[in-house]
Amino acid sequence: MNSSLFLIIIPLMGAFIALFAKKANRLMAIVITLFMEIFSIIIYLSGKLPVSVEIGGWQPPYGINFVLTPLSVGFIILINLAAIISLFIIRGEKSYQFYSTYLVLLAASNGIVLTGDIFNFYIFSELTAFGITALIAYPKDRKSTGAAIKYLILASTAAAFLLIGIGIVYKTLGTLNIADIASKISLLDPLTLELIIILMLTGIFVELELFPFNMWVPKAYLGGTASVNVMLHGMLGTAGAYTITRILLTMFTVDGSGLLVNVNIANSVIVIALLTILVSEIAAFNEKKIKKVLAFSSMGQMGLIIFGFMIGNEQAIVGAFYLVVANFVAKTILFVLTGEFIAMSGSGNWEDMKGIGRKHPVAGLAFVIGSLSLMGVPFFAGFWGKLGLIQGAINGSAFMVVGIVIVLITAIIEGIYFLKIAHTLFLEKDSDREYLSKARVHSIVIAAILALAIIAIGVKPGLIESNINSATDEILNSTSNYIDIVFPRR
Amino acid sequence: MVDKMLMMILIPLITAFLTTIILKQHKVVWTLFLAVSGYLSYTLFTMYGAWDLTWSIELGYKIFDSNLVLSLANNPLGWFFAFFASVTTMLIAMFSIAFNDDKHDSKTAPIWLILIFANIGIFFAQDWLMFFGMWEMMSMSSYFMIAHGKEIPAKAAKFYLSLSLVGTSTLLLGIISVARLSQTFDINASIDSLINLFATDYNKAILYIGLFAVTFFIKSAVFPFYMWPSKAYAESPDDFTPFLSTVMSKYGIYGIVLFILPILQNADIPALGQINEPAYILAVLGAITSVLGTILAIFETDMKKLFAYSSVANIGYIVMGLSTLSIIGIQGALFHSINHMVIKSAIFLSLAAVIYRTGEREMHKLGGLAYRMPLTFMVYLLGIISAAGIPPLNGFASKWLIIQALMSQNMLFVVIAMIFASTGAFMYLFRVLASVFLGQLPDKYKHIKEAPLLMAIPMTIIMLLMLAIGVLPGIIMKPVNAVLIGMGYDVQEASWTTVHSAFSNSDLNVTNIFYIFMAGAAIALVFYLFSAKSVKVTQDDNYTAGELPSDWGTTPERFNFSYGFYQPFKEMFNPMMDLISFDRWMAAFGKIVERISNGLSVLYTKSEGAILMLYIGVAILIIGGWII
Amino acid sequence: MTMLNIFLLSSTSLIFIGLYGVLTRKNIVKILLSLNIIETGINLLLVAFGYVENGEVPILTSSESLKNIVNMVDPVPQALVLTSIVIGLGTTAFALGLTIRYYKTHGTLSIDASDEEEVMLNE
Repeated sequence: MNSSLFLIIIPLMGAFIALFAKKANRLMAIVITLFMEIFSIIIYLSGKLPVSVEIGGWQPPYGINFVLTPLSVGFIILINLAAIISLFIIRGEKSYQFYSTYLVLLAASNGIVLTGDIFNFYIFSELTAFGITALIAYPKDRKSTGAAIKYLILASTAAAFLLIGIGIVYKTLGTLNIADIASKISLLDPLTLELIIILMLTGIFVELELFPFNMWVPKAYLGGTASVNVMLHGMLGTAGAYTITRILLTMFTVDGSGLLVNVNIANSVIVIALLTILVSEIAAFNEKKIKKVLAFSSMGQMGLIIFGFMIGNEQAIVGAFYLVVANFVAKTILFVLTGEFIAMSGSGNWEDMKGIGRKHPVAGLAFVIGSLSLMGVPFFAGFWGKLGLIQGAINGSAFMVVGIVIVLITAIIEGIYFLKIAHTLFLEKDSDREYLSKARVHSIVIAAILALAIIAIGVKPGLIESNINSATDEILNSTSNYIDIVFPRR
Repeated sequence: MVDKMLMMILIPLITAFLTTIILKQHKVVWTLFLAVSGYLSYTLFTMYGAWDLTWSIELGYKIFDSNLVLSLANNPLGWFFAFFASVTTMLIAMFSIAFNDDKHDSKTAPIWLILIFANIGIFFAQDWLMFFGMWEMMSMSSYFMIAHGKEIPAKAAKFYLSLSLVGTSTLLLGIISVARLSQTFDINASIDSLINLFATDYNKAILYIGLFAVTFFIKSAVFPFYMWPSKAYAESPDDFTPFLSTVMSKYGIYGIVLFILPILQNADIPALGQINEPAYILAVLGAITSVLGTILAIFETDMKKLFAYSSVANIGYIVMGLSTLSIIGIQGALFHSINHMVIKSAIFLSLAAVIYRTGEREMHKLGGLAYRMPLTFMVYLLGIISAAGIPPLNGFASKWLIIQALMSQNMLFVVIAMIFASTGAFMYLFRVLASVFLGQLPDKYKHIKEAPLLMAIPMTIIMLLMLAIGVLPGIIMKPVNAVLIGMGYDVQEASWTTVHSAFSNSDLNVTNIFYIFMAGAAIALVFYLFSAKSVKVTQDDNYTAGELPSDWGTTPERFNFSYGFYQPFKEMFNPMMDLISFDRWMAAFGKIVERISNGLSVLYTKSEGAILMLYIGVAILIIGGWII
Repeated sequence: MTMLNIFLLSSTSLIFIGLYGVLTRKNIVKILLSLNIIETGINLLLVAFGYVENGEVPILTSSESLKNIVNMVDPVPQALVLTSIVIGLGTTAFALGLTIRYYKTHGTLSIDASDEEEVMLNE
């Protein structure tokens, strides 16, 4: 399984080659990403999972290791899928910088998921921050530069917190290996542990788009092009969801049971998640720029997912995983289509997108399906996530029930603004507005395929049930499913 | 053989996709729509009595440690609503073929088909998951149906959408709470477990029922959710309004009969009067609904809005009937549900025909159309006679049953409300008749033609149906009694002609009443033929005393007799209306959300606050996780 | 006061000075400077974590030096610090590059400037 290193090395090498590849850049990026996707699927299906890969033959905790479990490889597949889609919807020629930074981003986001070492995790998350900042700033205009600077400052500050946390972990436990930390976490005295958790959470919450750490989100989505939006959401967001499962639910849990060691912190995270949901949905309610609406909705979904993970019982975690998948697919549809719509109407306001659904019914329908899934309507993928979440929360404490009421109230707001936008697509076109360009067929095809996937999962959630169950099992029994894989002789 | 149950939900769905492809061919599309509803009506007809038909599918999603199953099952109650709904739909569909011509085509057939798919699913759902899924499908598709790609309707539909989203949220919460009690999503099991809950934790049980009730009330527009129909009905496509009013307003009623009634009937709830407290609340809400609906209908000048409120009032009657928890009351309520379907489809279709020909919805701009559209006029006339509950037609028996049931349970105040609403109904029913069909014909409508043949056929059928049900109530009462038997009541098979009642000696042979009225009509005809002829005047022949209305800065319309017809009446009730305007409250709430939304948007646009917010986040974590 | 305490004190004060600077400065260059101060503080902190009073260089030259392994300074934090210095360098260089573009597009270095355009578009 040493070949799993390719998942990081190949894009990094590609990033270097891209400096000289000139016109062949795009082709090369696509080939590399396709290879990665196929390769990760092969790994997933090979039956050798879970496995820990020791780099350079140094055994953990002394050496750096990669951990390949159904959970992590599953996330790798999602990340690379988003990467392929984002490459396909690139509009116009891009210079080598674009592809080079893209490949760095790809390597880094794969690295975040694969690594079993906390300092490595820090490096990779810094690298993703770099990559995505450069990509956001790529259009070189005022909007994107402002957004990039804002994100970079926030991300660097957050990374500082993360690094302090890592330093304290090393000082107190003398190790940087995630599995090793997880098995020794009970040795720490509670105050230090809380300090570490708070510092690390601050570090990852910026990337997780949680309120109030997320002031960069709407601007970043607005500043970036459609393909960068897909990367932000599909690669960074998915990797972020993974860090929750690894950092929070593996490292800092009671005997690897998926419950956070400190109930107070768990509750504070739930409060933050609920705040995020509330703030983002309300902010999106009256927003006119469609990309910002989607950005706010991304934040909301992230809050929902984290809420599900923090509830901590099996149902809720299953629900959260369904939400991860559903949000991934649905939001990708919306970003892909939004890019087309903006190019067509020449305006970022959804009110100017009248009649596009009539002109491209398939695109319009896919948009509706994506929004319905995000709203959690039955027979669409998102519903099973919402159902599991509610189910899990109702079995939890009264606090969780309050949370679920908030979730349902915000679902109303979300429903209103999403369907409002979806319906606008089917309004009659203003006669004085002309479409600037046609929607590209391959974008619509991508959206349509993803929409079919949403319906397939929605009607038959059993399709991905076994994958999600194994992922859930990994979180709920991380001692046997994660720590024992890294340290088999114990 | 392919499963009948499965076919019934699949065919509308498949046709929906098919029609999407050929959406431009409106004749073909709407004919397909008619074919589907015809097929459904026929299949349902053959399914009567076959109560063991089921269909189910495993989902492979585990919840409560058991695999989830979606299932449909034929049952008397579901059949009752589904069958009459699809017959009504079939008649509307026939009308729609003619209505959706090049000029009026709303291009909504696919969505409507999905709505029908959801319709069947709701009525035959065996488990809450199916029920909820179909309920959401219905809510979403009806939003698109009402908005139908137009700007102004979209605003009205947004209002409808926000209410239905509130409904689906509470429904989901209720379903999960109840399912947690019974450890399954089966509807019957959940009824049993809620009945048990009443014995142990009364307040919780009431809360759970309340969650369901809110949903059902919203969908059926029971007080305090009475205001969405006037917006949604008025703006939806004219041929869809009948469907909204006849079929879609019954979902809530169906839910109440399916879930709330059995619990109120069988649970151990302290009695209040002859019924119990929750039932009393239901009765009072029904009473308020019908009174409010009537009053608001009286004030309305837009004829579609007027009948939207009239629908609200009728739902009030039905809820009152259900709240009695007695056989007669439920019979009356179910009977009235179907009567309301027939009556409202007559009324709304005739109005749609008027709008189709004139393009006008405001009543004071119309007039005298009886001369131009006699058939439409007849349909409308019979419709309102029936709606007013005058004996030879169908509306009478059901209202009579409900009033009887209310009287027998000593619910006097509710009876008063019912009678007030029934009487008030004359005020608005007559007004539309007078201002649209009677009076003087405006010049611009001199050359209006009668509704086309394909519209005339369904209207005529409905007219005959009204008569037939009026004379032979057994057509409806037999299935009604099958429903009651299915719900566990001890009732006889209904007779074709006689309606049994709550008191001894008051059984009613409706057929005899019909003969008496026919005789009365014959006498009236004699008077009409031999009395003096009326004088014709033009529309502007009124009291401007030689001066033109434009001299006074106004228009001739202002002096039309039907403009502001009940102004004094309106002034009488206005203060009360202001007090209970849920509508205004909703709007204010929306404004607040919008304002917060704008504020948050600014917060996210600014750059310098970002780090501060980050620190605040850290502070939250420190305070929440470390200090507390 | 031991050397370790001095290290810890100075590093935490550097970090807090930096955090304060990031919060209060409006000029992007100053914000980046503050970030660098934080970084320096963290680096010092990490090194301090591995500090041993009167420690030796952690290099195994002969079997003799194995005896002194308790006295050796922990090398891992130093490796971490090296990496983080490199990352910090990259971040700063990249951020300064962006700042130049920011100045070109906005005509100012103030962080407040970036929202004017959007506010105008919203109206």
